[in-house]
Amino acid sequence: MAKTRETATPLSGWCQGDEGVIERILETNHLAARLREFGAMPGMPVRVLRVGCPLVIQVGASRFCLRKADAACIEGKKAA
Amino acid sequence: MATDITDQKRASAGQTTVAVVGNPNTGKTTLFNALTGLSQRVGNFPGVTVERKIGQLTLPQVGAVNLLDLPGTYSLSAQSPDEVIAVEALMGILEGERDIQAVLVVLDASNLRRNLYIVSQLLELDLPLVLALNMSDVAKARGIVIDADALTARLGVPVIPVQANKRLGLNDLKDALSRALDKGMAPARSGALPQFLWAEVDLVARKYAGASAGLVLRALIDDRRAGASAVLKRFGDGFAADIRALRVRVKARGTLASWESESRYQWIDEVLDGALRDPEPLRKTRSDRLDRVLTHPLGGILGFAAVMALVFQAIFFWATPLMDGIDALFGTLGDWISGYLPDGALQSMVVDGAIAGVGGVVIFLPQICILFLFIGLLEDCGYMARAALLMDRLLTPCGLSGKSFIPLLSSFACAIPGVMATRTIDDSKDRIATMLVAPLMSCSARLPVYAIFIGAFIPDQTIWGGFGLQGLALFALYCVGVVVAIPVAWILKKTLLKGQPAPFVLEMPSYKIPDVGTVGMRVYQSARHFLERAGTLILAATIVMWALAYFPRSETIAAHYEAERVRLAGAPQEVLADLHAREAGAMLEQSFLGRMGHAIEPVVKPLGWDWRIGMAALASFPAREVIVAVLGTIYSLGEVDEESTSLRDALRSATWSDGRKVFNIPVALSIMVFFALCAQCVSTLAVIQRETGRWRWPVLTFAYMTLLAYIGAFVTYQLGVAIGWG
Repeated sequence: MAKTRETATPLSGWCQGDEGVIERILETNHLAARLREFGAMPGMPVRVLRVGCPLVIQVGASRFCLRKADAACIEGKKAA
Repeated sequence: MATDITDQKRASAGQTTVAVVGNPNTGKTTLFNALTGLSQRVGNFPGVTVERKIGQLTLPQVGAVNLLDLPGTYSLSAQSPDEVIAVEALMGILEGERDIQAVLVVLDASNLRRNLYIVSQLLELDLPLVLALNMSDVAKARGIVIDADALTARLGVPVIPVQANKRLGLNDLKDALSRALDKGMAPARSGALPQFLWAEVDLVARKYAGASAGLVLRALIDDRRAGASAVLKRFGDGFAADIRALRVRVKARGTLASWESESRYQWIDEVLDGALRDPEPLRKTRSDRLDRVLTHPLGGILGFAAVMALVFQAIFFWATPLMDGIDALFGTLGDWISGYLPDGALQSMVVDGAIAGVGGVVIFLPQICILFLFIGLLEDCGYMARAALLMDRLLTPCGLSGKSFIPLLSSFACAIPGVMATRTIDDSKDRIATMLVAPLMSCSARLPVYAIFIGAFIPDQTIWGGFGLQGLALFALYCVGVVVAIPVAWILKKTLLKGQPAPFVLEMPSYKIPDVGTVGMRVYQSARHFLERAGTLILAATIVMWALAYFPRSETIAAHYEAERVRLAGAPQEVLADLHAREAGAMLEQSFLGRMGHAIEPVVKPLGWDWRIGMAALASFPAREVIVAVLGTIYSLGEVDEESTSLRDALRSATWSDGRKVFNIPVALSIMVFFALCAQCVSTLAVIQRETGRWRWPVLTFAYMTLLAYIGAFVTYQLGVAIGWG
């Protein structure tokens, strides 16, 4: 992975094509459990494939869509 | 002696069941089809309508075994009704389901890390496992190298590379299954979770008959998820108290759920270390490039509209010749049987009741097949997930999610598969709301009703430079259901099913060429399911309706027409046929159904209807398509269909007792709007009852739809008259 920026930001604010590493997942709703099963865990490489609502993110080899509000509970560090 | 043992094994092999599990989109169904072929049977799991597919497979040494295809799931932590079934079957607590002797896990080799998550859980169930490493060609093309032997050694279960779509590796897989069943040994627990936890879990599991350690673990971790709630209910208060106590004892380290997934992925990374080489974990694929267009906020919607236009074009126009063929076939069958049965009640029941009734339903088979062909193609190639993604934006304001899209789309062919397709929706409120509005989508049974009234009363003209008025009327009727469904869903989600739109997470699988066998099997199964229903429930409903329209027979009327026949002996054929038809009409008027029609006339008069229309609508409550046959009988024409010009002419010339025409444009529109909105389908209501397990939902569906239909028809008629169309 390339160098990462200092602070983690919610994926909902990322632009299309942005890549980085997941820093943490906020335990807000039962979605968090499903996201973890999909492999969305701290340390995993992530990319935003579609912005808007729902947005599509790629975590490793998995691609899935989720709503913008839910994507806000995944925080990552963007690759510099 | 050796033969004896083999024979014994063969004899008991009928009882051996191997469950097939795996993540969605791993080619599980393709592999299942490749292994079982046409030997599979589709039924329902006891008590629920989740589809249960079972097929036969002959293994070397072991002989015939049953292969049970369980719904796809990402983990044993179940949320949707589909997943709950899969997990309960694996745990051996699904009532009425046979015990499972081994598990065949289908893995996507191009996404192995995530696919091993459920493997780490299955390794704790005390069942022999065989892992099928599917889509190894896709993985290879992406430069991913997997050491299957190393994985076999580390996991303690056989890992067999296969390519289900090309039928490659199936013999190795069968050998491995055979050996696993022969030994009957479960692998050791994965070691993903610590020993002290298992010690605690085992202690609880031993206290309750039928509770395994795996089951106790799920009840412990999943807390409020649907699967765990079902388990807690099943084992009673003592069990629930033990689980609560256990939770307090082990909860020292944060939330159990996040701790579980972290521990499991840590274990997976250890297992994969050196056994999986993936040069570019965050790869960009061809699917990603396609998605830039197909999920584009504007381009994606246009593409979606084009796909939908094609689907509906196919359903309504390609199906016509086939439907005409089926119609002719049943007509011929009726005539042929009439020749063998004596005139009277029996002949009438078989020909006018059973054959005409069932034929009127079977005629929709081509449309159902075409719809499921498209659904199968779109799903198997991966587009359906994108359609759900695009539709989420439109469905959220109604309180639903993108997951409601597929059930609603299916409902345009028939609400029954539509209601059943809601089982993939994990949120129970969203699921019920979707079920309740699904019957508002204009199903194919409404088409003949629209066809006959549009044909008779909407002028065959073009307006606005090329749009046919009749086509526009048809399109408008299809829109009525959708437009009404929006506020209904919104109100339901604000009142009875109050709640936020459920979270929406949906995997976007890679696009692929659809597998002909998988799509073909889907079409075949839906066709078979539909025909079975037509042969049972619809048949019964038709016969009851026939009886209400046939009995009681009036001696006076029979005697009167018999006298007429004698008087007119030797008259031309048309005169006799007309006489016969008038007799049928008179009989109908004093039948149970005719009396009901007269009784409800004051109620239907504000809609512009006479007693005959009211009666036809009443007769159509079990199945709306019955109206065509009933109108034919009422207007004394004997056998008619919606193409019949004689029925159209009869409708146009029907009069009230004071000589005014019964039908005009407002009346025709009011009837069509009524049929667009009314819950005239017993099967749909029965399926809603079975799916929800409650009577209140089908009762509510029936009540709100009938009320809306009445109001809609009333407003339509009164507006039409006010405008001056009458």
